[in-house]
Amino acid sequence: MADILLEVRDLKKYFPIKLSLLKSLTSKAPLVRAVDGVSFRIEAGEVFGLVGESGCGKTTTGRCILRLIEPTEGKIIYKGEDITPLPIEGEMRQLRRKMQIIFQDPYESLNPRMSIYDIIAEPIRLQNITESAEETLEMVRGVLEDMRMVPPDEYLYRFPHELSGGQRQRVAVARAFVLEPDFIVADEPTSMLDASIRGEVLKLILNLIEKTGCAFLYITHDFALARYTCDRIAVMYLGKIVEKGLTEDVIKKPAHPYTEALLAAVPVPDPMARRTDVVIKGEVPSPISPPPGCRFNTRCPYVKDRCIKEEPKLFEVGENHFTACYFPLV
Amino acid sequence: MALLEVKNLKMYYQTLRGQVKAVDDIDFWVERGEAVGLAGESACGKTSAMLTLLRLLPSNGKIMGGSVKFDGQDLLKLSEDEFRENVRWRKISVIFQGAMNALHPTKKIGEQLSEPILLHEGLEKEEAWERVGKLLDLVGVGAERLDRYPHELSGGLKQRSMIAMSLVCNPALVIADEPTTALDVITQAQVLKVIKELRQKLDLSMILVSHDLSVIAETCDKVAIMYAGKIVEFGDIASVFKEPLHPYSEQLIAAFPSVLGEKRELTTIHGFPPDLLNPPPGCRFHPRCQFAEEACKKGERNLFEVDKGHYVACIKRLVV
Amino acid sequence: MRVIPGKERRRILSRKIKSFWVDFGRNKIGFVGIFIVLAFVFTAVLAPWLTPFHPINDQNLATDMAKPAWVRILPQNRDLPITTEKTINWVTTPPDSIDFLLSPDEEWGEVSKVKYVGGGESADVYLSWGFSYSYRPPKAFKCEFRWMSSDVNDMGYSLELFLIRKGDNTNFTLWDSSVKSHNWERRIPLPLIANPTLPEGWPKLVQVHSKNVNVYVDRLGFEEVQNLAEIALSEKVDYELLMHIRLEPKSENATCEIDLTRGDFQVLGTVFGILGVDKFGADIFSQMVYGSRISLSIGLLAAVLVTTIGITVGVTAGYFGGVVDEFLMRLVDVLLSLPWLPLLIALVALFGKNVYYIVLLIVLFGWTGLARTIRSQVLSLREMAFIEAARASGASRSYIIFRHIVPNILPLAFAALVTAIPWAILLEAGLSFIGFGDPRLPSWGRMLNYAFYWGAFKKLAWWWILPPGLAIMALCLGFVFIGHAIDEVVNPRLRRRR
Repeated sequence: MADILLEVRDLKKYFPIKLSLLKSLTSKAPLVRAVDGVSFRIEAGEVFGLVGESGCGKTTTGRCILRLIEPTEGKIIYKGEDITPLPIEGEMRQLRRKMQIIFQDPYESLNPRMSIYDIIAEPIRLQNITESAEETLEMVRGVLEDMRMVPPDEYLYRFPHELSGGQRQRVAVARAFVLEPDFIVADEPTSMLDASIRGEVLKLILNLIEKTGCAFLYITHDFALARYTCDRIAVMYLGKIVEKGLTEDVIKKPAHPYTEALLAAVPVPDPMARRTDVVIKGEVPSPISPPPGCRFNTRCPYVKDRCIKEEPKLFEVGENHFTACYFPLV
Repeated sequence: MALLEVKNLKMYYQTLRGQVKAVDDIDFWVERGEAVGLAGESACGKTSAMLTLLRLLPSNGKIMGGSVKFDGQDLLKLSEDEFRENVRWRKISVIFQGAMNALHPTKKIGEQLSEPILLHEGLEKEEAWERVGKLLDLVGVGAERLDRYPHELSGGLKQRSMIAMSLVCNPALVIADEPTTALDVITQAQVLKVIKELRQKLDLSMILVSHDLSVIAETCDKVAIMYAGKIVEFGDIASVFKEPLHPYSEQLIAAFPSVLGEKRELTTIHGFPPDLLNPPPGCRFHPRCQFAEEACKKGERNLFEVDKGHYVACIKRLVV
Repeated sequence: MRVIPGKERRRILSRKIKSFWVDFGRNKIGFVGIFIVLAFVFTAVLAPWLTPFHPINDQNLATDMAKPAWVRILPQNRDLPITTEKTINWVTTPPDSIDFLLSPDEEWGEVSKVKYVGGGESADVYLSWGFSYSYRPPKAFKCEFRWMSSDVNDMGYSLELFLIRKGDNTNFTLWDSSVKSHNWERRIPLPLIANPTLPEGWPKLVQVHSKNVNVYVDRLGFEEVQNLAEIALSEKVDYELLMHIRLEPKSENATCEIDLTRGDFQVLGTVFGILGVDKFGADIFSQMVYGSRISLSIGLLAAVLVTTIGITVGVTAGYFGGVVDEFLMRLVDVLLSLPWLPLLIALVALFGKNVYYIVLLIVLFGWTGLARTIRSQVLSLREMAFIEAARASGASRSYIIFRHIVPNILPLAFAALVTAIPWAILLEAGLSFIGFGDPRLPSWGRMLNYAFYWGAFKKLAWWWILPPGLAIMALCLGFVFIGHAIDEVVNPRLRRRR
């Protein structure tokens, strides 16, 4: 088995709701339990998908790992070292060299007043990697070529508003890869791009992953895209992981009722496909006061008594296939 | 005779830099009880086409020609007032994208939804509310929510309320512009289900505009694929998906991944979307098409029938 | 920390500037604004060359509130008197007992020397200078010359200056060396005949102002007239200035020499200059021109200070949030509720009028609006993905503030700066108008204040009222146009191109 690059152990992130001055004196602020005990491991060179609907906590998890948000509890273990307590201005800054992020919105993730060159060179400069301007220039050119933006010099001195959405996202990806990091978090990197461009960007990302051997956390709500890119995926619901395993296993043989419902709900570009109609009623409960026991019990079509009494942990249901359900479907 | 027949419809935006040919000579039709999907990527003209049909264009959008025959009557010949009183919302209504944000935050749901009824049909308030209540039941929101305010509802409920609102004057045709794009996967499935059920129950005709071919594949009977202001392929959903005749359709369909079946490669279409101020001459797609030849750079492209009910605008298919 | 090669950096900069310029030029109004502002800057910078007069200190250039000279274009105004200055060149036919000499002098130009060479008989010397006057009767005239007595032995002398109207030969006594006149002439202790005790060789300045001469009209007997100028120069005929020097020797060997410099005869016009004069006879055009310096410099200074403070506070409050934000916003609230006008009144009452008080006040109470706007912009910028991306690469807080936040608010701040300038100008003008301005500074507001106080509004002296008012308006409008054009470039609504 390859090296475990990153381990997330029982990660929790609670956000207190802001109370008025008066109320905050009398009662405690209710907590939004955005991430409530999440654990997984990612190997070097692996693409790990975090799939779920909006509000399930996947984005928060990604940011906690990079410590852009501070976790409330839990450990982040990177290359065997617990990086959770590291000071931000101290060792964490060093580590940032090797851990990067790609955002969803290509329009907001680039500073509109900086040239493409400056944008991509920023990590290089912040981390004092190079000695001279020529070296920086070479690194930037190199990563632009990797993103098939050739000739790179044509793009260096342009500004974000002169590029299309797809090109901007490629710049964002280039910026993430320029320091050849060990670990990248990508938060819905292609959801705002046109369908015809998505494939190319994803392919370029996969190429670079292969070239640099970095680990990749791919956060998305799109199951179909996760299938295309990820080696393993974890499905999140209301702050917890309900299923995780090899992509094909999870998709072909979903063990958790939520996964099943999610897969049944994803539209498919084939009008002839036979779909199972999985009926899920209701809405996602509030993360401030999640339901007791299994969080999905309010909507699960197979709910039983035990589901309401105790909260299930992740059990192994197949090789490297885990689910948090007392009555898995496989 | 089809319920809606669009022929040679042209609409250009007048800008300081010239005319943006957003909708450039398109033909398609919708039979009664049928759902036609209008598919395409951003800036292909599908939203503009939809706005043209409803005559909700911004001030610089000018209809340059063509006809829109609804039940035999050319809608473009009607005056603004006639269209507003008789057609809009009564015969043709809309569900907008992100419609949940189109709800008035300080008005109750019942109030907003009954507004079109009171405006167009002049019913009494109680009757209007009753009809609205029935519709809310139909879409799964429930008549008990008539008294609620928008901020008390979730995204899915709001979108379904907007669907109810579009049906409030019993239109024959509903145009849905990306009705589920802003929603979660499961909520999207619920809303699409509601739409499917409504179509069956009320025998509704529909035009579904979306960039998501999967959604169109699930819900529509026919599909028209747009590129750079033109329709490049139009036909039954099954034939178009199984055997796409236009190179663009083929690649576009293959760019959507699926959770079913075998895992396959995602295609990419190289190049950039064309500039609608100065579109490429001849076939708009030829700069990005791997089969392009000299003849593709000339002449106008219009749809012609290749198979029964399956139309394409590509001269390479003429040989077939 | 800019490692980028210099040439590339310049390329980036020039592209930024070019694209800004293109966007700016879309709305032609920006260029109109620039043109207007540049016109004022031009006058401000070139003020000393545009007018020879000092705006406040050069007074009495014409009668008070004289109209602009160009009103004479109108036919009925053709003969309105303008301020004219003529050099008096004395000519005479001296009697035998007198030697008359015109000798050049380094200091005074040409000096007329009247030397008594007779032997004991009294002599009368008449020096005259003729001129013609072809305007309407003026309100005032001035006459100025110097005279000196030297080598006086046993001689009594007196000088008299007359103005003679040739048409009907009326003459008016302008000055008499024995007469004590109001302010200008030193006392000459007289009797006509005794030895004058004045030190010799000392040129005495005589300034005759028609306002201060009591007129005695010969034909009609003694009659005191207020406005000599109107009476005397009442016809468009020839006139003569006559200097009568009377020498009365007391012995045979009496000697005396009287020297007279060239004089100046000045008619104070009822029209003057490009924009007339104010109550004190100071040139209004000069005040306008120098006033532009005041308005522009105060406006710019105040606006720059306001913007700097506003940006600093706005960015600090917006980025750091929490207690800092709360504190700064409460400070803004306090400042907004302070009554600034009473404060200014108190300042002025305690310390006197000073232009810096106005600037201080403008700045102190002006930064709050900008701070709030910038703060809200910073609040939304703070959440943007590119900031998080910088943090993910190890950026420190100060790096983010100076490299990411500030460059993105600069356009907004720049637009606000340009709009703050007309506001500061107007405020300064307003405060000067109600009397809090520095009276030593020729600002446009001060002009309006004086105009109001000295009755220009009652007299409808439009040349004193309109120019400053219109100038304030035009200058502010110019900046507003520029600000408007910049706003269209900078407004995020238009920046988003999807």
